[in-house]
Order: sequence, then structure tokens, then C-alpha cells
Amino acid sequence: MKTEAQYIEFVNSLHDTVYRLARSIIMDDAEAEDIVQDLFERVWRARDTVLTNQYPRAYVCRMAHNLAIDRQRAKQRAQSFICVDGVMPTADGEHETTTKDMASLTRRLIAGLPEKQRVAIHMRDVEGYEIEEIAALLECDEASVRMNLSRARKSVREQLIKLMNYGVK
Amino acid sequence: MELSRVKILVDRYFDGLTSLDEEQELARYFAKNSDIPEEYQAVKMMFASFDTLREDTPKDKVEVKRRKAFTISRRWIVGVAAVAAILIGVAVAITPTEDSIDIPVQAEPDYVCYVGGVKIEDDQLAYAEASRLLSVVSEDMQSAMAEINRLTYYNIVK
Repeated sequence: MKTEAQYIEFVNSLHDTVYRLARSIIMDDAEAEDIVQDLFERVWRARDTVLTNQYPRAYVCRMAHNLAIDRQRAKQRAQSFICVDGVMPTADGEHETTTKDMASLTRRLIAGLPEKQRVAIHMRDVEGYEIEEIAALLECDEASVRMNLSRARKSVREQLIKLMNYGVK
Repeated sequence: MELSRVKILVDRYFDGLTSLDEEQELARYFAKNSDIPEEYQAVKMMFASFDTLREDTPKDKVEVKRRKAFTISRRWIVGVAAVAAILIGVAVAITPTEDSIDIPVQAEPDYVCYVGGVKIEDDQLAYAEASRLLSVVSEDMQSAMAEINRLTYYNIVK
């Protein structure tokens, strides 16, 4: 898979995935698009390494993840800025339950998770990656991925239940 | 799907043990059923949110070819700039500054002579050597002239 056509096809197939992964970390549309552009240049330069990797998708996602983390740290965007309370029940207790709002809320809850949990739940539940690919991305074993995935799912569910209960009180 | 089956899958899901197929089965169940038990409402919200997040795409697609071309172009520019910088650096390094100019002041010799094919540029030495040679020539000339005068005298006398 080293020809230019194969490279372009491969990269295009990952475009939206790496964008969403970067966005889940950086929480900014424009920043995520910049990361994708930067990423594709790097992937082109390292195409021989990338395309011969056992898990090329995971390898590229790992690159995207690291770029997003670096950029986030560089801009000192601590996750503390993610304020769940800010998007939750309105003053009169009414709860907005549109799908879009729920998705936005879930995204923020995921963004507030520890790094490995965040990547695990995003790559599995949003992108539908196999556990072994996520293990390659996170550079850990599959048992560790399942553990982080479990914790992430439970954490998101618990926070959602708390917020839902708060909304009906 | 039976509720018992849902419970098993949900438990396995939150333990991180479900396969992708099982997770899709759960997603379909929560998407199609409106009468979900209260305990699974949060799970339904999670699956609905994942579906929405999956549709999240960037406004502008990165054009891979254009980016690649840009990369190559930039490499050329950087390469040419690097070579130019090196050449300029070398030129600056080898160009003597005003302070470092050390041109030996050497006057043109007033006298030059060749002795046995060897060029002598030292003024005094050349002058002395030329004078010596001219003296020798002069003495030889005087000697020759004396000899000529003597022979002329004999011829006349005879």
C-alpha cells in the first residue's frame, strides 16, 4: 500500500475519524481541522512506516492523538474548562433533552475522562474500532483497554444519571 | 430483544466485554424502542449520543493532494534557502574584512639583473652586480683596444 493512490484512499478513509478524535481532545473545530492538516503532512512523510504497520489506522490515530495532546498542552487548555454544570438544567429546572444537546453533553463528559479512558470510549463507541486496534493506539494490552473502556462507560453513565436526577428534582 | 438479553448485554457492555456485534445489537434496541426501562434511560442516551457524535464531520475536508504538493514545494523552498544560506556564509567567511587585509607593500625594483639566468631583484645587489659586470666589460674593452692599437702600430711601422 505504498502508491500515491493507495495513500490518498487510506488517508481519506480516516479523515473524519482523526478529526473527531482530535476534536474530542482539543474541543475546538478549527483546531481539530488544523491538527488533521498537520497530521496528513506527517503521515505522508512517514507513509512507508505507517502503511506497513500492523495496525495502520491505529498508528495514524495515535499520531492524531499525540498531536492533539501536544497542542492542548501548548495552549494550556486544562480540562478544568469543561464545565458540565454550564450546559445542564436551566434555572427553572427544565432539562433540555434534544439529541444534539445530549451528544454535546456526552462529548464533554468523555472529554473530562482520564486520557486512556477517553481514547478507549471514543475509539470504541464512536468510531467502532476493535479492541486490539485501540490497544495498538494506546500502546497497552487488550485487558487494559477493556478495563479503561469499562471505567469510562460507567463514569459517563453515572454522571448522566446524576444530571438526569438533578434535572427532575 | 428480550429484556433478560438486554440486561446481560448491558452488564457485559459496562464491563467492557461485549463484541462490536453485540454493541450494535444494543444500539439498535435502544434506537428502535421507546418504552425503555427507567434504569436503562442513561444507557439509551449514551448510544444516541454516540450515533450523533459519529456523524460529526469537519466543515472543510483537507485535500490530501494539495497538502502533499505543498509539502514538496516547501521542501524545495527550504532546500534552496539552506543552500543559499550556506553559500552566503562561505562567502562572508572567506571575504577579508578591512582590518584583516594585509597586502604587503612592495615597491617595484629599480634594478633587475640576471646572473647565470638567475633573476636578482634586490636593488643594491643588482646594482652592484651590474656595476661589477660592466667594469669587467670595460676592462676587457680597454685591454682589447690597447691590443688593437699595438697591432695597428706594428702594421704601420712595417
